Amino acid sequence: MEVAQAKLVRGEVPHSFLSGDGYGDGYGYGYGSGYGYGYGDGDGYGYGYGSKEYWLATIPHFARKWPDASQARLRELQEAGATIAFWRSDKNGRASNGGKNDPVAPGTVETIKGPLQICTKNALHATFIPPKWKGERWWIVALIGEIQTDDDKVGALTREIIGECL
Amino acid sequence: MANHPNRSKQVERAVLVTTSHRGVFFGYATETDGATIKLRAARNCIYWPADNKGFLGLAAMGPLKGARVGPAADIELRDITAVAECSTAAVTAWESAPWK
Repeated sequence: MEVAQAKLVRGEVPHSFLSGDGYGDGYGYGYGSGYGYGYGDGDGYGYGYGSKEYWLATIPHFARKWPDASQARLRELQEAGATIAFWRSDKNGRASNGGKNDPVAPGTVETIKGPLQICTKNALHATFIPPKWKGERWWIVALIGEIQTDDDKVGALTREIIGECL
Repeated sequence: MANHPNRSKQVERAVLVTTSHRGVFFGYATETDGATIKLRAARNCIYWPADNKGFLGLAAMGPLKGARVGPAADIELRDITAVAECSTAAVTAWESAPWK
């Protein structure tokens, strides 16, 4: 069977992507001297996160599948200066990365009391890099009003669910 | 204005690009030498199975069953760590991979 080959044209295979289920073998003998050989090859599974720029650029792709009203709401929130990001839930639409909430759907608006403090219960969170988080369902959300950010995380006191990433 | 006869037209290639931020992207690029790379119709590989035989398997075979791939978007990547040219078979697999 012909096996397709990839040609590395720049750089080297990132070590972090070779850290899977590698294999190797070897042998040796001793009594004061010895030698041995071995080989290894990373061939395990892998994962990546992408980037904030990439995931924000995918929003139009997801939005095109929404009803007109949801698409219009996205535009409205963007024009109003809301922060558009992602949020992941369990299969029922409930929080899956800490916190508790009722199941969400497009149009759901959640609010909490301040003062806003990201990474605490005093914030409703979202992310710019959704693969970093857990959750079966992915949503595009708007964080409204004051926000705080921490790496890929963003928090606010009001979060509106605009649509699902289908 | 006519093209200069000796000026080679830049050809778009299907490539797999990795970044230092654990980004693994497939897409189409005309230039891959600079500090940044513009990728058309880029797709992010979120997860690939052991059958892919590592990162280079994504360039050789494309995402196999069990892989998870993000939707296409035009982006500019920085902090590049590696670029691999994709095989024809890999391009077919990437293009047919669903978002979920």
